[in-house]
Amino acid sequence: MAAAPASTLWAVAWRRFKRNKLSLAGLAITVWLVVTAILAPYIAPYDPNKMHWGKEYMPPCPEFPLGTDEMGRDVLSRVIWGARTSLYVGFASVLLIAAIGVTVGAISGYFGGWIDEVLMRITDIVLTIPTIMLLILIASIFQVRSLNVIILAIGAVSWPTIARITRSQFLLIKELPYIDAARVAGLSHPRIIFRHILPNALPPIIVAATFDMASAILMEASLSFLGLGDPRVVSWGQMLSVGHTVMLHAWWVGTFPGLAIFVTVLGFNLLGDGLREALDVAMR
Amino acid sequence: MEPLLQIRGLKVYFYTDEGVVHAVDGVDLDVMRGETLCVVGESGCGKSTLAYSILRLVRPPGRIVEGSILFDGVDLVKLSEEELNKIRGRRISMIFQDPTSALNPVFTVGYQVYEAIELHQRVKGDEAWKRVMSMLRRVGIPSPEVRYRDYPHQFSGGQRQRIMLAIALSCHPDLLIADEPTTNLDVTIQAQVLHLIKQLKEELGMTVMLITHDMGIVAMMADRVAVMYAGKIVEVAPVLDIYEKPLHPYTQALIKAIPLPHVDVEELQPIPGEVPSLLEPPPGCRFHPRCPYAMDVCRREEPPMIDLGEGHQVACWLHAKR
Amino acid sequence: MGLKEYVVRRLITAIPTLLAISVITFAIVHLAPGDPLQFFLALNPDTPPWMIEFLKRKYGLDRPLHEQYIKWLLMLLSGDLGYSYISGEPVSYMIGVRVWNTIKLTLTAELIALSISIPLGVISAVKSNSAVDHASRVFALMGVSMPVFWLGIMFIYVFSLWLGLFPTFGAATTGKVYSNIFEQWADELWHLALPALTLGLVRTAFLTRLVRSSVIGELQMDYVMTARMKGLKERVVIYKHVLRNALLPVVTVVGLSMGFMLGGAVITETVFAWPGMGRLAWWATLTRDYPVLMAITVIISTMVVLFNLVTDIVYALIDPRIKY
Repeated sequence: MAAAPASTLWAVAWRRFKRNKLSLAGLAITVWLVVTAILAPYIAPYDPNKMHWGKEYMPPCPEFPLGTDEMGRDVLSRVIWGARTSLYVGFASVLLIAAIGVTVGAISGYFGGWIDEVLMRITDIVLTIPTIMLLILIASIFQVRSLNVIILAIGAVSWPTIARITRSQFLLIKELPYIDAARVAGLSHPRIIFRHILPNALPPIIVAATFDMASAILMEASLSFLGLGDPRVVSWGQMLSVGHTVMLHAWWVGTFPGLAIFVTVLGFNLLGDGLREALDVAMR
Repeated sequence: MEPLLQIRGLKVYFYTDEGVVHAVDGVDLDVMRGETLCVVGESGCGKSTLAYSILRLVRPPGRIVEGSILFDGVDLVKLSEEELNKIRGRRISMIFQDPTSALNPVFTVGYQVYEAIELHQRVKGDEAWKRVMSMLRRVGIPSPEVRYRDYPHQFSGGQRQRIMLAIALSCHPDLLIADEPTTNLDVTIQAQVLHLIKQLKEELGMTVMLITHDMGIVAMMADRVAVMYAGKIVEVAPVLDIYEKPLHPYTQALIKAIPLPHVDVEELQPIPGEVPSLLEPPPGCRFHPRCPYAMDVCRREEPPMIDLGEGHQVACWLHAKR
Repeated sequence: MGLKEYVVRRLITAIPTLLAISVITFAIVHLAPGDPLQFFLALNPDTPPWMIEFLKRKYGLDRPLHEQYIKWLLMLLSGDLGYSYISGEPVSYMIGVRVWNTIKLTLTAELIALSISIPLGVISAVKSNSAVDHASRVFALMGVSMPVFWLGIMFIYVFSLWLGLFPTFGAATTGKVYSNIFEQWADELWHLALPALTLGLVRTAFLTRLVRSSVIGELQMDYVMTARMKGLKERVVIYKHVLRNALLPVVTVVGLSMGFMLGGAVITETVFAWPGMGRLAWWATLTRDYPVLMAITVIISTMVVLFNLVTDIVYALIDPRIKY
């Protein structure tokens, strides 16, 4: 497994990935979202925060394709800008999760012994506390809940999965002969960890990170929905939390941001499923 | 001798993403009442598929496409699932290559034997359990009255295969199909299990169809031998003829490849060439790419099965009288 | 007996975990910037300094941290969860009246999920790549991507507001006097239906995928062949031999993901105004009512630890290969 040159591994993976229509759909959705998020200022018809006086709760019409909300803001523009928030939180959280998870897992798996014991015990404990409880507990202690605070909270509760996966990969790979060779050659620990083991441990980590992306987006949406998000940014969860109170007479206010969350999470889940299949990663 | 099982024109194909695998591709074979027939061949030649197809146990995407399997005059291919279940385990039984995974890990071994007895012998409770004990004793499980409550993982590999035999033979079937029953066992254990099969065959008056790739096992067990290559039977003969006058070049190669105690390993002759893909078998005789005697006709036309008398049949153009 | 020792051993190993959870919970709240009383003070800006001093003393906030922690821990152990900063009620009372509602919701949802996902997962696996399989996989994929609050909102919109079939909030009709117990049960069930279905469906999706892949894995095992070879009906082969094995990993996951369920309950309870611990936790978060929040975190985590424990024991009982 470690001996295969990286380029062919990815080529084979891409060939397998292409075969599955659902995986391609996942890729299409995520690419479309990223493009939307990047181009938000150019494609949104209005400023997402502009209040159109006297045009509150407009149903979908040519002027406002998805209607307006309780302050006369254009729902379509807000859904488009919401993609930015969601994806920013998603990507930043996953980077943080991967940074913590890979570090903990690599140290644990590579060095073993009491360090491993201690780190895995901590990992287990974090896994025991229900994510959402830990999340709202952390979110509650900050006066100002900026997006970065939310990212920090999501990172703090979500790293154990990747830590465990990285650890088990390291346990497998460090026994391979070429790692012994590297050790005998006198390479430093960080060099062996990052240059020789990590690249070969990547496939399952990438798959887990994709699923973590989906769940980070869902967590941000949940927090915002609960009123624990960053009130200064446009967020789907927040739009939904207002929208659900006016569902009966203005269904469009809550329906579209909800749909956006659903499609986004679905996209990353499909992508994750596809990658898992393509990279031949067995989960559990 | 009359045939107990008559396989005619059997084709079993696997419809995979990569294409159709012709695992069994037109097999005619008789199994005579009371005999032990060994089916030999390299791995991947379709011999296990042949064995599985008799009780219609081939997993999808595999399917019996054509042919008939007459057992005591009844075509197993055409039976309904319900009728087939009256034959499975009662008149025909099977044991498998890996006794560890062939036993259900969450039921006691006693119960796994009990289940078959209860199903086919219309007895329940104490009487059925009495039969379980006697069956377990018969296959050589020590103190069955204690051990029947144990689970498969508490037994050794050899004992597990004995338990499989107890399940398979609990209803005294006419035919036992054994698919490489000792491949996963130690050499000494192998011999014990094979002896047990031989002994039980005599006691119960069974017919045995034994699938193996090991010519040593063939010599020990077989009355008759069928040699299989790339989804087809290439030679059928009484066991002595197979060793003393093998006719098919493939059979000859198999015999030469047998490791003998007095022969140096270097003199061992592996069969040159590769096992052909069953996705696109070679045209003509399937052995021709590896055959030292290959002629033009071998590349063009499939050889017919030629009967040379005295129960010796071979599918090879070398022996065709034109 | 081996089993008794095993249970005791597992109970003992759970103690450090529980202690660590209490430390983490305490540390998050007390090491954070800002004052635990800040929200109360924001609501009551005219509080005189002596009153602040009094409150700090009352809640022990003037003591060193480790002292506060030990006092809090001892209180927790004695069942005294302190008083709410906001309402002044005993926290144990506030939680006591709600804990049953959360358990009722969670267990009903789990029951719904198991009773749909097991047959659906089995059919999907046995008839893999059939129309049923594709449909159930699409359903499962959509379910795991569905934000539970959005599903809840849609249910309220369609079934309560639009069709008027179910109530939109609460665990029972407010102020209603029941003439008999059945009327009460009917009313409670009527209120329970939508929230349990919401939480249950999301869970169903997750479990269906799990059951399907587990059954597909088991179908490859040779013991399936043995069972068929015996002449057992295919139904017996699947539901007795295969399912018994396929459910082993499901038991583990169901037990270990109880925390996930309780997390889902927090959000579901909020959407449906369900008077449970989750909604209380949410409210406590908004009002920074730390005694309540900390107590709920510790209680829910303890429930998860106990659930994991029970799972391990059940697993050891049903899988003969596990030595304890």
